[in-house]
Amino acid sequence: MSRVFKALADPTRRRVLQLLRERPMSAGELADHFVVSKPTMSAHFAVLHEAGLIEAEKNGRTIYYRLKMSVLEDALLGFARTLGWEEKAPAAHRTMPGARQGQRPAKKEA
Amino acid sequence: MNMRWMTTYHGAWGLMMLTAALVTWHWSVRPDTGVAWAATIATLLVMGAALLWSGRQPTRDTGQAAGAITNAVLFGALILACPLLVKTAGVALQLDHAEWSRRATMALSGGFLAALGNAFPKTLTPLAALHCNPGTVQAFQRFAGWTWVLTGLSFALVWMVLPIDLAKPLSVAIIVCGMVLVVAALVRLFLLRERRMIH
Repeated sequence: MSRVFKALADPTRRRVLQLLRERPMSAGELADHFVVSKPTMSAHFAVLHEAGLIEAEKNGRTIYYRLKMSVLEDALLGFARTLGWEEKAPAAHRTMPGARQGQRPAKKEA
Repeated sequence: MNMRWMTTYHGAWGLMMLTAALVTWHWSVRPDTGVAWAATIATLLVMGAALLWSGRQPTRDTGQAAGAITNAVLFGALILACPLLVKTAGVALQLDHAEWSRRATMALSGGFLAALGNAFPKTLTPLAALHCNPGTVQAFQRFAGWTWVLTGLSFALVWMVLPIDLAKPLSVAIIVCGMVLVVAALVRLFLLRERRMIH
């Protein structure tokens, strides 16, 4: 259970779980919703996988992630949202505004 | 070795031993109901055999089939042990135990339903084997899981707090409502699948 709490403690990981509530997504699709680097995203996926909250499935060269949450874990995620933990998330971890599925966030001009 | 599995395994054995001891005591106190106690002992023997089998499976570390059997035996032992404990307390304190014995059994059954529902969304079919949109299947599993958990908890609560005469019809109504909701969602899932196969 401590692994689950550790996984849910991070806003990025909570956002990943929220996105996966809609449907299973590839690692790339999920990464497109965040401004963090791919290795960081991989580390987040690893923590979620270790906690048993997501399942990874390889299809060719693409890894698909899907939700593997019990009702209790789902309720814990819901509590985290209701209690407003999302608002306290650091700006760098937030989902890019306007970022859509399969669309990379635009790079800033130097 | 998986610690959680070990705890469940030993817990199941402990509860079964406790149940066997209680059954033996009740049998000695009331030998006229020996057939019922013999049937309980036979049930415990079958459960013990299943538990021994699950303990020898190499899959126990992964928590697959052996884990499911161990959990089922633990719940079974709990359902037998709790009413027997209430009955023993009733006999020892010379109280009317029949009602509380029944309430404990029904509340535990509700807990069992809730536990089944809780684990349901974690049961995944490989994406390649799905004949439907994975998102729709996932939504169905979440809905069925939540419905079953709420059904089980309401069932247990009704048996714990309401008078027996009211608890009986209400608990049946709760179970029927839960089943209708899950079956309706399942039918919708099949219809969506059919539609997808036609187009």
